[in-house]
Amino acid sequence: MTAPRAAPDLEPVIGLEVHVQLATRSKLFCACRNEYGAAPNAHVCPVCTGQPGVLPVLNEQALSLGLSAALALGCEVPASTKFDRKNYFYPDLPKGYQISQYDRPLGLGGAVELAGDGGATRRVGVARVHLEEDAGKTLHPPGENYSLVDLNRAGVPLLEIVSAPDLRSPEEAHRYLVALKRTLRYARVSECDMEKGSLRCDANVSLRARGSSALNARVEIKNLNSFRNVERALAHDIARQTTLLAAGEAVLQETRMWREEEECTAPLRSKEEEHDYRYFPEPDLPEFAIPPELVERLRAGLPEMPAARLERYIGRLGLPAETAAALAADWEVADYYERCLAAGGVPARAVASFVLGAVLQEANARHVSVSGVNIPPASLAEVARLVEAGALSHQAARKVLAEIAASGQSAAQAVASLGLEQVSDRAQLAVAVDAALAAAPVAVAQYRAGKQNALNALVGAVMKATRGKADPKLARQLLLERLGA
Amino acid sequence: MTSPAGAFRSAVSIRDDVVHGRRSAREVIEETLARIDRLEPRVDAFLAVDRAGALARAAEIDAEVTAGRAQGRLLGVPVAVKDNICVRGLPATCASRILAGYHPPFSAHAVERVLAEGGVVIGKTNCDEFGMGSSTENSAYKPTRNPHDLERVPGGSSGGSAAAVAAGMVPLSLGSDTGGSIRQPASLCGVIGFKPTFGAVSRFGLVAFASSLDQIGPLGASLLDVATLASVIAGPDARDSTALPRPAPDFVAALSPSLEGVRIGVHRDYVEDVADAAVRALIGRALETLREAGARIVHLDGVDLLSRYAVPAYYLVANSEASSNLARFDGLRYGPGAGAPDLLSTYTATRGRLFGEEVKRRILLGTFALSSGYHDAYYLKALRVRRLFIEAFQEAFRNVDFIAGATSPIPAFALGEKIDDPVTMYQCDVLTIPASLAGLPAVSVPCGRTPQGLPVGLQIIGPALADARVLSCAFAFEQRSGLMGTLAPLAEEVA
Amino acid sequence: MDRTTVDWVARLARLEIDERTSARLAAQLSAILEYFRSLEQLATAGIAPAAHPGDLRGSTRPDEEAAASAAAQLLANVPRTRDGFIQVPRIIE
Repeated sequence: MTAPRAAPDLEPVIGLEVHVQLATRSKLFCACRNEYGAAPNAHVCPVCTGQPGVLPVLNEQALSLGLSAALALGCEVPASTKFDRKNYFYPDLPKGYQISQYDRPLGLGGAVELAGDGGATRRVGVARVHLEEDAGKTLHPPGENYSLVDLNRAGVPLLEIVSAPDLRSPEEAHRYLVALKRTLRYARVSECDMEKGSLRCDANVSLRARGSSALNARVEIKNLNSFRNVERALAHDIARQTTLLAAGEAVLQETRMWREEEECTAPLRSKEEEHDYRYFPEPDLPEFAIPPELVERLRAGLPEMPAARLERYIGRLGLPAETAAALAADWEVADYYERCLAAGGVPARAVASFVLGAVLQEANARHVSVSGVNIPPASLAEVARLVEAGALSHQAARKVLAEIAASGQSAAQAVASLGLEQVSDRAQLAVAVDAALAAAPVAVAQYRAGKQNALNALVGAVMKATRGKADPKLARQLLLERLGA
Repeated sequence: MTSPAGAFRSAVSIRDDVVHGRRSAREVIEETLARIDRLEPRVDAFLAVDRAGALARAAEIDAEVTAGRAQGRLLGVPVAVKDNICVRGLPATCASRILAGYHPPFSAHAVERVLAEGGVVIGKTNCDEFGMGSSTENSAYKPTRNPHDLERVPGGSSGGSAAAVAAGMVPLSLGSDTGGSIRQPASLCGVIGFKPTFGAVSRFGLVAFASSLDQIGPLGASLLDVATLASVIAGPDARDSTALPRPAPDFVAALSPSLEGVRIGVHRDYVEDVADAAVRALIGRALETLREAGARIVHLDGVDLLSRYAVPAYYLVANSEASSNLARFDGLRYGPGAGAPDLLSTYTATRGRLFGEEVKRRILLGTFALSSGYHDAYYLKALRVRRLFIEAFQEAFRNVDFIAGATSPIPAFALGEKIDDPVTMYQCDVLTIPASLAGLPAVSVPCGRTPQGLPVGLQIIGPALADARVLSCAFAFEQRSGLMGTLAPLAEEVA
Repeated sequence: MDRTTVDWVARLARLEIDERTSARLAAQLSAILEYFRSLEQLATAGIAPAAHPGDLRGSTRPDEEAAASAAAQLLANVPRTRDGFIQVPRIIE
């Protein structure tokens, strides 16, 4: 199985089911803390452990976040919604049913726009968005005859986002996930951190003859723990299905697991597939009205989405497309960037290069997000101004930013403590000025001939000689004096 | 109006005595425990009696009375609680072996309200397993006996709660009604049982049988007592999304002995077509009593109340929900469980061996009704029929204030008589189910005894939210019937 | 409802049922379902299913954490625990 893609006469039809945990304080139907990484069964209560006699009560913020996501994805939001029970037995599902949504989800018919080649965009449909509760976690200690259940995650609000079967290649599936994650993070509905399980993905793939609408059997792939693995698993299974079809064999409709170590998909035991979920309306929860005022408030509360922001960075701020895309890729980066600009008086490009350079490096080095980097936007703006004024070299500016992040000092304090403060002593600076004049007879001659720009070159030479420490105003004044102006 | 019989002590009088220091709560509780000691071996109404807890609570109440801080509409009143309603510190088995030894870490909303008003939970009463039954014979632990005839059933599923009141062990008890489980045993035991409008009382802490039908309600031997307990437990609760958001009216203040201008609907399904002749006769007389009290009797025979479809529609809806509600009982998080080597056999062994026969039958029926291929024909069909019931009642209540008739088509039957024939047993609920399907308030109030001495209840059904009026109508009937506080003859033996 | 159906439903519902019981239940459930067929006489086309008895509207709760949880008490009811986890028979993968 080496063919990476479908044979030329076959085309893959791919749909993705993405689950994201909503960033609420408490769980979907009880007041337990929604927190990743706590001690086992620390955040449990009678409701999320399925004690007899308890009832679910819907978290309004989960509903709002779910609706915000639906709106951010351009879905139609209904005037009311309801919940249903999905019945199955599993130890991580305390009630023996999951409260989910069956026929009246929060959103229908949205889309994710993928940036294509040469500025063209491709619309991938979002079939539905619905709210449901997460299950607990099950551990299977190797070699033991037992499994262990932790119910901290049971009842955490989960949003299921089902794409239309619009994706045509593993690579496109990957791009869809990147774009979806970006939108959901912009809408502040979820961290979308796959490592912490706050974003999970299952894929469906089937093949059909190009130009035909008749699909072969659909294969569902589970256990996909990174975007890269989604792409790899799809590529693998497309190759597998292609080989089967080429050999005149049928593709089985089944659920397969991605096995990362072996880099292949393998079928789940058929027993685990024997499901009849017996959906029916959750009798413990009446219908919920979604008032138009709420929808309007949530719509108005959505931040500017990545595509709009990208356009503005290029069009209004004049950033190069690549820089603009890098900034807009993540809402935290983009927001940080805009807060730097808001400090005023700094050029958009220079700030962008610091944000994408020093700030992201700092974040990566410390394994935090941009908001966790200890450089206040105002300080970054100040450093950018110093650089712009020629008072700091780029190199010195990096050191200053690192110092700010490490020590919490202000920009001025950091400059001073690194000994990068400007040289404002006339006698000290005169030496550098004389050296610059001596080293640049051509510039001197040009200036004398009336070319004002040549003075800038001379100032630059002084700055360079002093490693950016010279006070550029004073340097300019001394130069003018020496040139006899 | 006759005075209460000898053994009867109303909750209201107990409360007044305790509030005014005429009797201590300790005396009340000791006397209650003594009556339970004498009667319980014959009636088997309780699954647990909280002797120590009740006495400790009585001591607290007495200290409050001494300190002059005592208050509460149920101060010092012993209340028995059906075993499917959670009381913190007491077992809640739902009369099932699958919950043997289970102690809920919280109390039901209704129980919290009772305690807040000074009530004393005396113990947990027997019932059909998870409320599934009409005779209390489906208890995994023991059958309860009808205090009027110990060889007969008390009805069900709240049979223990009805029998405890009928035997004069407690003045008040809490039951739950899904398709008649308060009203039918009240009728068979000769006490009052009230099922409020769906949502009037929070279901928080009631172990669910069928969530869209279950309601907690009071049983007692006087309307005033029942209205008092109903007032205490009704009202909003943020923990139950199906609880009505408005505060409940004061049912006691609304009681009036007059029925002037009241239109009472009668329908042949609830009167002439009732199976048992003695029941028919007593219901006929009860309607006459209502007329004498000033009510106008309006015949509803032009309206189809669909009673013949009640049992199928109800059992499909209730058991579908039950099949899901009872999925949590798997022995992994609570309850004894059945040890088995692997997960699947742990599930099947625990549930197969620890659920009783009727519970399994209903889970199978409900699972089947929801399964793909049958969902539309059974479950969805039943929900559509349920809509027709709601509309039929709405139609009827355009012309009448109440519908009155029999609660149960037959009086108490013999232990063992119907237990092997589910279809016949299900017929016991045919007259209580319709109000349940439509979520309506309904009360059963004693209206006499058959020549064999078996009690018969008059059912009064009102439109949604007319709980206060339903209780008032029953009160007016009670005032004229002379049956207030009438307990089983057995109760008088230990008066 | 025949034996095969009873066994299939029992598997869905995770109920162990021996052969004798299965036969008895098949007979009883068939009788019950036969009786329930009377609903077919009632025309319900176009009637909206009533999942709830009334026209209740759901109310939500604010996104707030409760102060204390009853975790310890809940775990005390669990038949088998290990290191704070709920222990269950091994789930066959």
